[in-house]
Amino acid sequence: MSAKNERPTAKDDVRHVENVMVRAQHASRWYGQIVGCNDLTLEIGPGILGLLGPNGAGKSTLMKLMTGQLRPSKGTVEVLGERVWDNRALLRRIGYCPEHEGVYEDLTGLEFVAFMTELSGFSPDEARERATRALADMDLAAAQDRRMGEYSKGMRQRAKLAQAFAHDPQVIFLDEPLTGCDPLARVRVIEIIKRLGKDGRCVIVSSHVLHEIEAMTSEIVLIHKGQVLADGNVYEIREMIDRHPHQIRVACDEPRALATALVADQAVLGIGFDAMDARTVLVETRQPDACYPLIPAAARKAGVKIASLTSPDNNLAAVFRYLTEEKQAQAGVQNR
Amino acid sequence: MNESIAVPSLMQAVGTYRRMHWTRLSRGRLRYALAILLALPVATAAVALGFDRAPFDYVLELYFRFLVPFLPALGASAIVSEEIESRTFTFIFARPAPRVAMVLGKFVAFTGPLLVGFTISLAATYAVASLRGGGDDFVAGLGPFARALGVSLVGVIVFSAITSLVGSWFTRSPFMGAVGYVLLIEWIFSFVPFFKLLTVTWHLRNLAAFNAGKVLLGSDWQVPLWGSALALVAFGGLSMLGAAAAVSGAEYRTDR
Repeated sequence: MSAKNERPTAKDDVRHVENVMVRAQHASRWYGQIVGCNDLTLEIGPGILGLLGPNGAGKSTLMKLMTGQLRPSKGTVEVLGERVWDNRALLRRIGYCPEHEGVYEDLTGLEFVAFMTELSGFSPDEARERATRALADMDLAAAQDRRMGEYSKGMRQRAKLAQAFAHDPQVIFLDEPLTGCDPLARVRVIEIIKRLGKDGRCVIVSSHVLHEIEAMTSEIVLIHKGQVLADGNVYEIREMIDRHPHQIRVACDEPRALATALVADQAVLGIGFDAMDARTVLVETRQPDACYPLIPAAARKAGVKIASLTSPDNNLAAVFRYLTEEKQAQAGVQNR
Repeated sequence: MNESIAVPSLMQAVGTYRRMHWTRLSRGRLRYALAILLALPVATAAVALGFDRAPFDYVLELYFRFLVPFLPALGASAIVSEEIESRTFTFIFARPAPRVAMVLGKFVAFTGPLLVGFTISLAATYAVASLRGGGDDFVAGLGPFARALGVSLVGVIVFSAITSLVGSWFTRSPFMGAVGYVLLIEWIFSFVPFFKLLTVTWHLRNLAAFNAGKVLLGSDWQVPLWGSALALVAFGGLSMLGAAAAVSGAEYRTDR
């Protein structure tokens, strides 16, 4: 993925890449009053790109726009330089693995992948050959003649992935591809996705879990409320998680005593109390690594018993909140 | 990436969908339900032998009133809706094959074997019914039998097409939609003068010269056979076009 801007930022500008394979320009998609994608502009080149966003962010809508299953309400979506909607010939060069679990339960894995490959233009014999290879790639050779109704969630997921690349597409869209996969299958699926990316294809992988994406690529686009919130390198996102205020919830028997014990420490940025639970102290810090051991030590010193210690935002949600706020602040400055 | 592979033609795609759907049907329970229902008239004909009625005509009423309209609905009404319900259309609509091929291929996969089933059922019914006269009526009745058989098969095709279309409208409960169509249009309209011309069943009966009834009470006006044939072609053709249109420009959707 050849991105110009190296660090993720709340975006108003468009990220430009060389050798664009997928391009969305001011693409919007509404479902009645609900916005799926909102004036989204994006360019994607060869390699693996992670589409990251919380559930309902618009990742699947974007994938459906890019695979010609939805027509943009506004703007355009192009793949390999051609509009996707109502472009049958282009679909020959696209592979797609949807996020849902629905499959043809009464077909075997081999039949499913072979029929799908046939529908991409291959003869029955060649489709079967390709399907066999793709299923073997996914470690499903032994189960290829079993009906998919008997497959586990992870096996179905792998069969769905096999049909997405058995016909040798140039652009592959994988919507939450690791859903339901056990640890071994995850490793295998990630290997395959990486291999497809190295072959010069454009592989777009969506997920709401950062470490899943991190295992496949360092290039990500953050999607939130149907918009591109930020894009760039995953390591920068990691830094951002560590840089912005991190909240720790501490449930204890003497919240005020604990707050007093913690408030003077340099690692603590702020202290508050949970409005919903009087026994919970909210500790804000920019140095979580230093703060986590500090809390039990301070509690011991103050004679406070800790019931639980959790971090509600030790994940992407905090980054999304942070970037959304930054974007709103930028918009506010521009409006003034 | 193999650029030389062309997108599949309509006929290729129809063939693929036909084989795919047939593979699925051959493993499902629907085939048992259809076999049992098609065996019912044969059993009824056997029972009717004991009564003072013309068994074949008696059983033919069962075909025209129930089996011909309802049996196609069992499979054809789900042609489009099952793909939406199970969301499997996301796989096939992301393929370059013409979407219309899905409707046509599944239609052929379901209707073809159903036609064979009807032929066997009707032939067996006729054979059993002919036992009444010690077999003497068998040859004499072959003409009307052939006519009834041909018309029934046309009816199966037309009703399959119509219930495919109705099923694409009522995707949550396509069979109930199809049953509703048969009860409301085919049954109720068949009692209403002139409106009966809008029913498939009346035209089938007209073609088969079997209890069609008058178009208008107090009038001997009749619809010529070619008129009924044309009506059936129109009903079936327009329904297939409608079902195909339901998928050809369709976007992703879910009924959940």
